[in-house]
Amino acid sequence: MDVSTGDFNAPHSMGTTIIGVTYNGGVVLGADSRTSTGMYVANRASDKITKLTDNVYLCRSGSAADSQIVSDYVRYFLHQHTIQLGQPATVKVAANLARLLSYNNKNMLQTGLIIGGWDKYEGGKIYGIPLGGTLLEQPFAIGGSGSSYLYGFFDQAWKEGMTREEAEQLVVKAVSLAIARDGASGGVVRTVTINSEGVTRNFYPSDKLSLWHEELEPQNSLLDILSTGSPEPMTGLSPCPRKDTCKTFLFPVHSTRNLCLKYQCSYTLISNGCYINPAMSSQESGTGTGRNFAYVREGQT
Amino acid sequence: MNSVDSKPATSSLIGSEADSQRTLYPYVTGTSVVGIKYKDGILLAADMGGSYGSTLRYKSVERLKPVGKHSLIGGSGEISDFQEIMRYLDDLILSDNMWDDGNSLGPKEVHNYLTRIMYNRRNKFNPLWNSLVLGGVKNGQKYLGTVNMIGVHYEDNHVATGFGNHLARPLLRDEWHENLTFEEGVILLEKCMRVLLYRDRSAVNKLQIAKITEEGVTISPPYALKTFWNFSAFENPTLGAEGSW
Repeated sequence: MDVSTGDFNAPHSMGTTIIGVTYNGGVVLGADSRTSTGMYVANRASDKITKLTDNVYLCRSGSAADSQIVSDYVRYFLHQHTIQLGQPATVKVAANLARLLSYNNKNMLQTGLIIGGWDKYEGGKIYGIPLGGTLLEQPFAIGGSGSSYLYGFFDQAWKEGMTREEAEQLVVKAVSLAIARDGASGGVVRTVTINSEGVTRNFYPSDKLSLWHEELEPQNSLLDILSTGSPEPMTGLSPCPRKDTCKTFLFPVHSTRNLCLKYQCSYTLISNGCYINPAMSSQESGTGTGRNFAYVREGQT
Repeated sequence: MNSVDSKPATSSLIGSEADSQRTLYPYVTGTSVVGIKYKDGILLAADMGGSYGSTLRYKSVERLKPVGKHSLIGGSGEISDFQEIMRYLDDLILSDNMWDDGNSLGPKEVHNYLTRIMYNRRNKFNPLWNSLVLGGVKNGQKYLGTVNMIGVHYEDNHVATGFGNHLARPLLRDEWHENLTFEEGVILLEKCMRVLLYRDRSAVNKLQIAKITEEGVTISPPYALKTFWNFSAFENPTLGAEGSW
């Protein structure tokens, strides 16, 4: 029984990481796929990049309900506008419509949007619409809770005039980095690329993404790791004489000095064996360092 | 007549300014711990994440620790409080060994000690913000229990903390049985940890599994689990229903 686990009446919120980037010839939109209710992941494979028209898409963040209803209204108005205009709507018009809804209902809505698309007049454009309804045309935009972790990254990695491949790789890398650190972002990376030729959707599950700091290569099971046996010991160390009989040993997280609990000697522990650290062998008999204590001594049961 | 000024009475029902720090809300937290009894002893699993609010700040936090010769503890909740609990347990084990009488504290006794600490702190409105799993084997008897920040404690064949209660326990109720082998136990725990990885926001893909038997304690090296995203429904979920999930 625990306090505060899943508050199933908490609003559905797309914690989220959303990104929109312009490149030489179009735009790339990217997002994670996690929708959460409190601390519970309600949907691990959401699609946060929503189509408004054939050439304009919208990334949604914040309240799932609010962003859905805003996108539904914008799609509806844009559809009518397209019929009246007789040709595809421009990205600017789509963005302005979204801005009007966000601004005029600012007290009730909690949603941040990134609009991206391509039209024949201005080419690829990205518009950011944060909380409150500000409209900002930007070469790239980031939003959602995961974006906090990306400001520094984009300051360093963003450049004008990228190719389509560079832009898409940048977006995938950025969303992946945000997923690594933001608990509210997760799942797969989805991208939508829009240019004069049309629209391409892409899907990157976690096995297609790089591993970041302190992340490990995924395994099928611990049993596979145990059955492949131990690697060679570090050079310069000889095995502990009790290695085969002693069944109490710890696996170190980093291969630094760990204490053999059963015999309380400062043996360096590596993988599934104990090895003497020559510098410490004089301390063999009794107390170890740190929070340890002599409770079994040599020669006693 | 007393010519010396006397200090005004400083009565406070809750505590004085000379209070030690109290945890009002947690800062760096660990998520679920899952534990099961199996044929030879106890298996515990926990990931290595230390979250700082919604940020997954630390990814190599060891939340499974041996206690004495016969017990294993897994801690979730505030990490600093868990570290404090480890200091209390070290003192306990030290005192036990200083008797040098051939007896050593078993898991049931350690669990009871923890329960008293947690409950007494709760009564002083200064809890240790943790949920703990304590498992062990002594003289062939297996023991697995849990205790949390408000002092609720119980033992069972399988226990969990936090989200583990909601996501892992149902799986364990369905698939646990007496005399699980080590391999079956590991596979079952990994199934639980994978679900937690999908559905718990504060889960991190780096975990350890610890085992305790009559012979002693083994804690595995950190490793990550494979996850599955290649369902056709995941690839284009909003086709035909634009704007939805």
